[in-house]
Amino acid sequence: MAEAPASVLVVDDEEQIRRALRSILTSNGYGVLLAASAEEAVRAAAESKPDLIVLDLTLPDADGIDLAGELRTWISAPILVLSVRGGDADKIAALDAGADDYLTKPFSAGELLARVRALLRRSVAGAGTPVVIVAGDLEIDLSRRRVSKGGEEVALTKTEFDILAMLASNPDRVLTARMILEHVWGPEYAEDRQTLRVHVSHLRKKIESHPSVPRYVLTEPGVGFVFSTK
Amino acid sequence: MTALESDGQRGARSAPVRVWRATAEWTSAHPYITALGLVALSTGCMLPWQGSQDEAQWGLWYVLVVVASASLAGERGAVAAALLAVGAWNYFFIPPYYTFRIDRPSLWIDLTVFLLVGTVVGLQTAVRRRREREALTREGETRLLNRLLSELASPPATAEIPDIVLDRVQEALRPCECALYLTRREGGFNRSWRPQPVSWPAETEERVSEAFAAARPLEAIGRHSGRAACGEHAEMLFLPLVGPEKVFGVLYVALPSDEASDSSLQLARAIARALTAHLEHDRLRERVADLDTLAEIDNLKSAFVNSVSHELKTPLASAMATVTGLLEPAPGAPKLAPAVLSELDAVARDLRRLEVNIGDLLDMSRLENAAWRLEPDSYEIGEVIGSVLAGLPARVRDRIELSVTESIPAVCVDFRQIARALHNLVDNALTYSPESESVRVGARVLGDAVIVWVEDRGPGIPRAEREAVFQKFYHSPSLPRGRSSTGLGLAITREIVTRHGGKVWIEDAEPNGSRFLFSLPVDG
Repeated sequence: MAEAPASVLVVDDEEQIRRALRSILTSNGYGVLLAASAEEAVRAAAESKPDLIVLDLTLPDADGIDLAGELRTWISAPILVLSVRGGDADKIAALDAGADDYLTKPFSAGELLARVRALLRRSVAGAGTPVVIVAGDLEIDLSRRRVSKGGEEVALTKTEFDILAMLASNPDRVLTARMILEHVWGPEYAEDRQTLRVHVSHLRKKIESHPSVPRYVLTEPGVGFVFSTK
Repeated sequence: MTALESDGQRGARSAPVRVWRATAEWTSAHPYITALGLVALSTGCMLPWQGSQDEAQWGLWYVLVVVASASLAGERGAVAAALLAVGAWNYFFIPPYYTFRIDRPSLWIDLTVFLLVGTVVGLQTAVRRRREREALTREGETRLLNRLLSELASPPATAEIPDIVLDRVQEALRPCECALYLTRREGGFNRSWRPQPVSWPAETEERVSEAFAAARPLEAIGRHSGRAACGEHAEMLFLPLVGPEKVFGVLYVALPSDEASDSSLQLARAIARALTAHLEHDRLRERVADLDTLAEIDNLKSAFVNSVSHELKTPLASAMATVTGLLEPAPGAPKLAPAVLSELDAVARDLRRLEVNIGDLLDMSRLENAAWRLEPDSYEIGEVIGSVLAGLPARVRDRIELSVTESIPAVCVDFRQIARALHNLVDNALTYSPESESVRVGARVLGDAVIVWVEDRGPGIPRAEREAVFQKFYHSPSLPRGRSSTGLGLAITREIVTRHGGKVWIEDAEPNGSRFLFSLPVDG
């Protein structure tokens, strides 16, 4: 946010939420655009090219998931989806349709800002994610493809490293099983969840302090996995 | 014989019909006298023409007499009439008259043939007549039961049922007294008597109570001889109306002992059975209506939960976002006064508590909805524990000590629900343990179950209270000051675990505190 402030398009049909988000985001230096419907959202996105879109899945005139998919075809800005608790299927569908992350209502300003910052950083830096990722006692060197835990090197297979690298490059962001499978194995393996589970289980045994109770690579039931840095 | 035998002639109850019916009843009850009378009468009528025709021809007239006797007095009347006719024929119409001597041997053959033919024809007539009467009786019974059922099906108000039934009983069985006892919803029973007695006869009432208590199927009806309105030796029937799940009442019928027969018994039974079927049908109809109401309530509850979910969570989400936004101002933004910040912090805490409470209430409603289903999949229990711990604030997470054994087999669970169940136990343990003490979370295998446990260093739970803590809205007297709770957390945990086919229980922890455990069946 050195030069022009990043602009965020907030799409939500609830006026109270739009007001709260505008207040939080403007006070933190972001430019804010508001849209109450899918139609308004598409127009605003086309006219002002926002740097990030916050999208509620329940909209009066269209399905939020469809909208995320449509926007993704012509806009590269990251999309953060808002949803109510328990809508697993919606979350997966939104992520697979092109959303980049999701946040469950109700959320605190801190959580929202953390997601917004992470998504903007990624999109601005592009491929330039840090070469070395540090989380707790874990150090992941992406360029040299090395992982160490408490200073000791951990031997990972190529697949295990690829999974870990993908998850760790997107810290605290849920990645669907399909995303990981497509990225690591290729699109033809997109449905092979069991294989992914087996490899994640092996990975956990090597990097987790307590191999049966993961702290870094967490399961997001029905969706996929998340690399936790908390 | 019951009144129904002549029911076929209903609508033509003129005097001749009544006389004929009475005659028919008398003759079937006295077959020998009838046979004797008919033979004597016919002989008397034929006597003036004695010797006017061939001796053998008188036999033809006597065949008619045997058939008439068979019709009126049945098989016994037929055989008796045949024998008497042979005697009368020989005595009055075969010379020498007024002796049983027979001079012409060919007449012996005539008499023997007559005896055989007369007996056979007589018997056949009697059997056909009896079948005809039986068919009429059945037809009458069927008509009566049809009428009873159609009257009951109209459908009558409950108060009209006794009148309808007793009308039919009186018409069909002509009892000297009858009564219907029907159980009341609120306990006890309603009595309806015909005729209305001055006071309830104690003996009869006692037998009715016995019939109620015995609650046996209809086939085992009570049958007693005793004093009823008809006199000292009435036949008293007590027919319990027993449905598959309930005794509806007792039908009491007293018949004069000479009126009581197997067919009246059968008819009484058929009436009682028809009435029982009707009452059972009514009961089921009410039950279905109740079930419909319950389903409706379940639907309303779902709609309510969804509506509450949206209506409460939207303002909560905006309030939470706004307040937390003020608490975390952007770098460089003007700082709020410390007093305002502290107030806002309290509001944020309250909002979080509100969020938890709303979540508890909605979860409980969802769990109690019969239509709600788990979404199970195969997971390692450690994944669930890891996820629950990751959801705790960092400073609280440091208080957790893990004791999970390795290579625990997978469990087939609804991950989110089990995480919810475990979170409630961990939250509970953290609430009741002093802040300086750690909380231990563990898992191990026991037989074909995975046991998960959470141990606190709190005051412990007395044995007597261990069941109560899982009740909805239970509030422990030892809840630390300043903490509030919906009293639903442990109830939700138990509901979730039970739905997974497991159970929850409490043990003492060493040296102090409690251990909450739950079991889950191993996958496969």
